[in-house]
Amino acid sequence: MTKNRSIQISNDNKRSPQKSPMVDRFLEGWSVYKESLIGKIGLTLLVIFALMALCSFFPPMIDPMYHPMTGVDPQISHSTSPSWRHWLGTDFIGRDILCQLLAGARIAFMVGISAAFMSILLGTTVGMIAGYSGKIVDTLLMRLADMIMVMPTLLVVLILSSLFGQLNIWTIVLLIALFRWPGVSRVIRAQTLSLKERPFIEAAKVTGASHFRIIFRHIMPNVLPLSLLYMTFRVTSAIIIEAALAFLGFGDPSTVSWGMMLQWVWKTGHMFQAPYWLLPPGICISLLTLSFYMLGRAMEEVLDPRLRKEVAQE
Amino acid sequence: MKDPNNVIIKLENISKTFRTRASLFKGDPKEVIALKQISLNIYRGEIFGLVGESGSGKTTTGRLIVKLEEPDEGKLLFDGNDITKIKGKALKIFRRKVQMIFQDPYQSLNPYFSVYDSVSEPLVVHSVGNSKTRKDMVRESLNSVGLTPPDDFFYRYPHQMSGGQRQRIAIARAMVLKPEFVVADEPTSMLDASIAIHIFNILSRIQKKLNVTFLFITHSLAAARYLCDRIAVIYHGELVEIGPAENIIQNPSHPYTRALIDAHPRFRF
Amino acid sequence: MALLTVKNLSVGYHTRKGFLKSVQGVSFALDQGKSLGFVGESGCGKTTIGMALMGLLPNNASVTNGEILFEDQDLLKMSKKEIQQIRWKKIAMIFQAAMNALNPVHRVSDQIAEAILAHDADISIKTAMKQVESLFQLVGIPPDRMNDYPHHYSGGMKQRAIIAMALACHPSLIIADEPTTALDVIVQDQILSAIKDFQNKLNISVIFISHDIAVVADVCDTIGIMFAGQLVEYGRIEDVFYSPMHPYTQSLLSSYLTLNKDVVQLNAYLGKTPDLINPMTGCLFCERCTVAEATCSFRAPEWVKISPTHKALCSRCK
Repeated sequence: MTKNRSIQISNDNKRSPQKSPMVDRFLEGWSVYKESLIGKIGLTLLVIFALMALCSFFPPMIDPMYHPMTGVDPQISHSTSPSWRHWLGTDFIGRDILCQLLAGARIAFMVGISAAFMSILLGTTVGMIAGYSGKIVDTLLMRLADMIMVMPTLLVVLILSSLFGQLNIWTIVLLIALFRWPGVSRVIRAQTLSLKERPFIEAAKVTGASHFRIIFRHIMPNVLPLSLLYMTFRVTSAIIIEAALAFLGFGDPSTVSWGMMLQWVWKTGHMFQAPYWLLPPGICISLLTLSFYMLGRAMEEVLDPRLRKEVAQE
Repeated sequence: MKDPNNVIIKLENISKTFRTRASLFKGDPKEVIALKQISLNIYRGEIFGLVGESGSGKTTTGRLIVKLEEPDEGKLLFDGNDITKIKGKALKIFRRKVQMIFQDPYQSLNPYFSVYDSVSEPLVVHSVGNSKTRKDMVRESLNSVGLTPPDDFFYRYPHQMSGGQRQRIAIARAMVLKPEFVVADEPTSMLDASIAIHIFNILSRIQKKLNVTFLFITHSLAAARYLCDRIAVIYHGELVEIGPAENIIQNPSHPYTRALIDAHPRFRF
Repeated sequence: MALLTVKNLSVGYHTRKGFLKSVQGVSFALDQGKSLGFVGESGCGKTTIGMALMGLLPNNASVTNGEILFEDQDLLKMSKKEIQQIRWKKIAMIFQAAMNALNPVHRVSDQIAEAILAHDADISIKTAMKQVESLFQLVGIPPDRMNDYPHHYSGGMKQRAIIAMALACHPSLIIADEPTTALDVIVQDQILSAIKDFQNKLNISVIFISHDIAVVADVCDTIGIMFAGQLVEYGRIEDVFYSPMHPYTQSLLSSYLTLNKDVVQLNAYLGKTPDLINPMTGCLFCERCTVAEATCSFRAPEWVKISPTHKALCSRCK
């Protein structure tokens, strides 16, 4: 009897292990992303800011007077306009503005990304659990989300800091995360609801997988792209909130952020006298948030169903 | 080879009704009676065909057996034990013995799981084997569906494979724990007609080798004839005819069965 | 004079991995009132042919060669505007899963009337509705269901509505791409009868595309078997079915399940998908072929005329 040639399949490519869909999708996504003008501009700006953040470590090493908080120029003790010594000038006690700007970039990234990351973590988990469980759990979680969503983040944080005194930067990050997760949870919940009915989830159920396993092993990889997308939008709001807090005087006084710089300009009465001091932080806040936003918009194009891949035929 | 003394799955007066909710477009909530007092015995070792059109209740029957749905009335017995309302640990033990192959190979595999991940999932869920023995079991399963050499397929992903290959992976996944009973829900309806027969041959071979019992759900009498020992014809939630495959097709007694036979494209050549 | 003559049509798609040659050198002719079926597995190019005839190829597709002569005019040389004049009025298409294309918020009769009015601005709405009525009669939908919404229709009825829409402007050619996939056997039978019916009554030509050879056998006079973008066998239904010459045709016929015959031994195995981006030299079916010779792998096969109405693209059949 001949061997079952009828069901043999010849091996078509003796390639080494295939790229995982994460990598594959990333590369495909990248080639679509590249075509978006907004995406390219956003990414370029981001790279510039990232470099700024990295460079913030160097000036203090060159000369202690370049330290953003404590680096006071022995020869200058007031605000001066840009010069060779201080490329953007100095602030009211003689500290270098450019270094402060670079340090601010570092803080902005840190705050933005950590707050966004934490709120996405929380939001995605809640969204998946709500979407998958349905009924009471879903209702409770979503009502909780609604309540938190309608609270004005900035106001609450202001109240808290006026009650408890100056807040540490990490506390601020935590608070932003705690107030911003509902938005992403709604979207993830919707995505989970539609995934729940898909055959591969039913197959997992029939296999005997526990609810926990289904949520975190089966559903999660499918919602992560959406989570990442929302993370970019969260970064924008986190940066702005932190800047606003610092500007109003509720930030962490031991960190130099752009908002803090604006506060100093304002408080020391240099608003209209020192444009070299006023403009850079303001422009940086706007540009950084704009670039994250552009990144998000371009990513949206990538995540569109038009990227459904096509397959070999038999 | 069916053993008349050994009924593996028994449905006793099973009924199931679906209620649609009221909505803007569809008006008042409607009730759809999917199954009306169905009773059925499936014997160990046979391939049992359930033939019907869409809306007949055939898919619902399959889903009830694998406990993706609960019946509204009636009892479901597996190997003599009442499993109608089992939960928890008993349910997990049941799931190890009863598996399902879904209709849509493009949706029944997790796109983020490699072939190895998908096929080994049942092993992981039931804590069977360690990483080395699991690889061997997955290899054996992939070999049995004709995906050879199996190691070449381990790290491929569904989107890199054709519909027929994906369905074979789904079969490999269902069989890796060597279950006793498998529901195959229209396994070839989303595949080309020329591929269908290869899939049936795979199922037939697996059945002979492992003595698994299959419930083969289909809308095609010809497929049921090719693959099955016994057939039941289902229409609007009721079993209208049941018996050995060839008998039903040569001597249909119910008018609906006759209509199905007449409607089949005839090969005049 | 044939209604439609296609000469050496080649179409490809620009993909990220390269240029995919979906259709290669396909030629055929169709007379008024006759029907032609294309059978092949997914990816063989049959749907692409249909889209090319309708001028509905996507943006990344290009026609690299060939002519499509419809009523003696080359469709490929026409401007977009000219094609729009022909599309739906002279050539209509029933797409795959077309029944999902009905707009759920409009009544079915309105949608069909819209199709009529869109292509003939001179008709009054009343006349259009009257035409809709007669169309419904033709495809077998009861007149009291005319004003329902799509979700009230069953799958079969929706498909009939789609056929009615295709017939609305009295085309001379209808291209039906898998019109009965996703339908049950009994409904499929009814739809196929409906198609044969209107084909006879209205003397319309039909091009029927399917992966199911038995469905095509039911409806068509002539059949073309496609594999990897090429036409590998072509001829009258009786010729091809009684004496299939190409090994692929033989495997298709032998793998089909019927209620009366037993399946003859399977003589082709599931080989690898033919690479359409860098197709191999020689016969594209070579790897899967059970009767391939050494020369098949490097010498491209030529058409062998088996009879005036039957030809096959194979070096082995003489």
